[in-house]
Amino acid sequence: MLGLLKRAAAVASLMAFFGGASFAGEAAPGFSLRDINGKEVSLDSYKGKVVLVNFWATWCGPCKLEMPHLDKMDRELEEKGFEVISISTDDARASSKVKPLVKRGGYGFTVLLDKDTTVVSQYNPAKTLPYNVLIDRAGNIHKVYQGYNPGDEVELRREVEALVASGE
Amino acid sequence: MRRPLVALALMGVAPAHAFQLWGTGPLAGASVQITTDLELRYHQSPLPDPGTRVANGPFELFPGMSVHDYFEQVGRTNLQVTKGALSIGLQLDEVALFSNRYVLDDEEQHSVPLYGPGVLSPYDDGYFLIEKMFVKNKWDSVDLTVGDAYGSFGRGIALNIVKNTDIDVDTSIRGAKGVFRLGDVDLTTITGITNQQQVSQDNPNFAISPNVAHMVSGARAEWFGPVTLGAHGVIYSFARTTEPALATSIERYGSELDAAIYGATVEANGVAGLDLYLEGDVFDYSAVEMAGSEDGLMGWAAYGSVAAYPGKAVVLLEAKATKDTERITTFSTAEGWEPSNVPTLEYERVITEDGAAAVNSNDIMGARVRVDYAAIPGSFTPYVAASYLIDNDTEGLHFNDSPEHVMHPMTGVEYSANHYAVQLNAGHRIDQRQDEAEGSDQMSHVDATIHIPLFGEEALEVDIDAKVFSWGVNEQQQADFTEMANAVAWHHGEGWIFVFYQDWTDNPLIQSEGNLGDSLYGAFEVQHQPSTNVTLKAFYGAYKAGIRCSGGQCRSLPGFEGARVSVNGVF
Repeated sequence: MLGLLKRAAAVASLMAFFGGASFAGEAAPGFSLRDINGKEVSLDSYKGKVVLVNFWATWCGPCKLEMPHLDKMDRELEEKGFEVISISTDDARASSKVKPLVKRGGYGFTVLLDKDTTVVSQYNPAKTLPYNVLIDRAGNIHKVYQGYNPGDEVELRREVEALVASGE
Repeated sequence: MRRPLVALALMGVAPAHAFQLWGTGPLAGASVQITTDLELRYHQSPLPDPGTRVANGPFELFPGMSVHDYFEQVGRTNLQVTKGALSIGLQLDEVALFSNRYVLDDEEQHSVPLYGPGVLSPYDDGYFLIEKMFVKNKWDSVDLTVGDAYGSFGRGIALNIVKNTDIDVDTSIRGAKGVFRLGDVDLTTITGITNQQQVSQDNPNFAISPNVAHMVSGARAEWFGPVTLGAHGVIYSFARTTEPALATSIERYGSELDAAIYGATVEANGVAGLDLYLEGDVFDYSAVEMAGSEDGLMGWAAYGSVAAYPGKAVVLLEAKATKDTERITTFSTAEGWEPSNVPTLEYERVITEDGAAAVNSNDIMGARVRVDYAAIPGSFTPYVAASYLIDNDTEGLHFNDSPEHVMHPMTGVEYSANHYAVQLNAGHRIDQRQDEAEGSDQMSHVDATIHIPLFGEEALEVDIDAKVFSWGVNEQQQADFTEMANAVAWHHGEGWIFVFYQDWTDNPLIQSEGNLGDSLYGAFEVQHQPSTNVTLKAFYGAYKAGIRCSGGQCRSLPGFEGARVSVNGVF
């Protein structure tokens, strides 16, 4: 039993060590999806802008708490070349609930529907929601954020502003 | 035998670096991303009560010893290579059981068998496989995927084979999928055999059975004009375990069709300030197991939604009527997933054993309306909702012998400001039998999440989820009961969370036992994010078994007692 515990500890230590590794600079996988009004939107068309791709679902409480902060950032930093692309990961059966949720919050960012979970499976194979991917002007992933707790938006905004200001 | 298992455990973590591929080949310079989800669990089983007679098992051979306790290690590694418009994905799943062994009647026995007949593995207590793999390329007007893909048409009534990690379901279609954008028209085609997730990431792995390959092929065309018009068709040929040669192979294509679903959709946004959606589908069953006779059977489904936005209010009305649509799930529900389903209209956190009838009924119609009032948009939104359904299905596993009238009023609020947050939902559901002598099933429920900032970066979060059930007369009579799943979390500094969980249930049919009392379960968890892309969790205690629903699918999930350590990272 002690041997097993030691092995478990070794595995956890390895993971913690590699946790410091970063995927920064890797190319963000391209995608095209329809928005909540049926318009086609492609990630390629955002090249030259800093983009935050936000994965969420109507049933996800923390996602809904985060959205007003993303909307504020989207509006205030839009002129500096920043955009939020929000992707609903609700499956097809809940699609009718997505637009009402966006309208009641008065959110102005782009909202796309990933009804068959294709894009979320590429970006976020695990189950964490919300899940944010910050992409630089060259289309490379800058940083990933798992989950949301009130207050997390402060650090996220700091990172977005720094990336926008850096011109990368 | 144990050494290979350690190697298996390490496979899930070794390549945790992001890098660019080298060389001069076509993938030179491609980006590589790796996501890992690793978990180590110690499953604890209660000892038999003193004096209990145990026979023909390990407890008789090793009295007083926890012979059914075991370690389980589960790893999921996703690798994605991206170069320009090309993506190559691969998911490796592995599980290792460090269970106990004993000799009974001269044969070595495992206290927990990892897999059953038909599953091939070089190790008795280890199993790994390439669970998903795909190559995807994106051109200007075409997305083409070869390998594992997901498919969903309309509102999922004809086809909805998607990933549902919330209940640990990940069935894909292994074959080919194409999305062709021809001006205002999108054409989606998909064909393949189903590939069901075999290694559970969140639930215990034991007696893993071979993947059963059902054939699914479908196409959908959509025209995006002033309104969006769509039409689709899906054909199915399901595998039977009585025909093993066909059950696991592409030969499924050569067998007769069991079912076909055809449908049409209309969507209009902003017409007189309304968003409208309508869908109708016809189910054509030819399999005797579904049709009930060799002559075949037709079923149908209709679903519609209307959203209106008067002033600060948002009104969403959904309605559905279905007849014989659930027969399509005859084979796959036994495997824990469903290829298609009609939107439930229910608030899914309250769906229960009896309520599942309103989810999976073969003859139901009704509507749900929800009104949100955005008093302070994005900050303070109370709502009311009510649903009314008539469930005429009295067969199968349904509790009711006469039709039911399902009524479910609800209310709630969402509030967030200055790092305070409240999300509250409460309601009462009545499933009133038409035959009044049979009474009604009733459920009162409340769930809430309250986040309170304290000082500095410290914060407290309280989660409450409680339900009280009372049952009418039925053949599978069960006792009234109460169940709760609560938690208190302390958010400490940057990236630390300490959570106390408390479950309660006095449901006599529950398939688990409390660790703090017959009905009381307790657990403690530490969560830590050393960086934004990595989450570490350590859990000790127990939680109850129960039915959990997500996205219209419900699964009966086992309880757990013991310890678990998990790492989730994106690299």
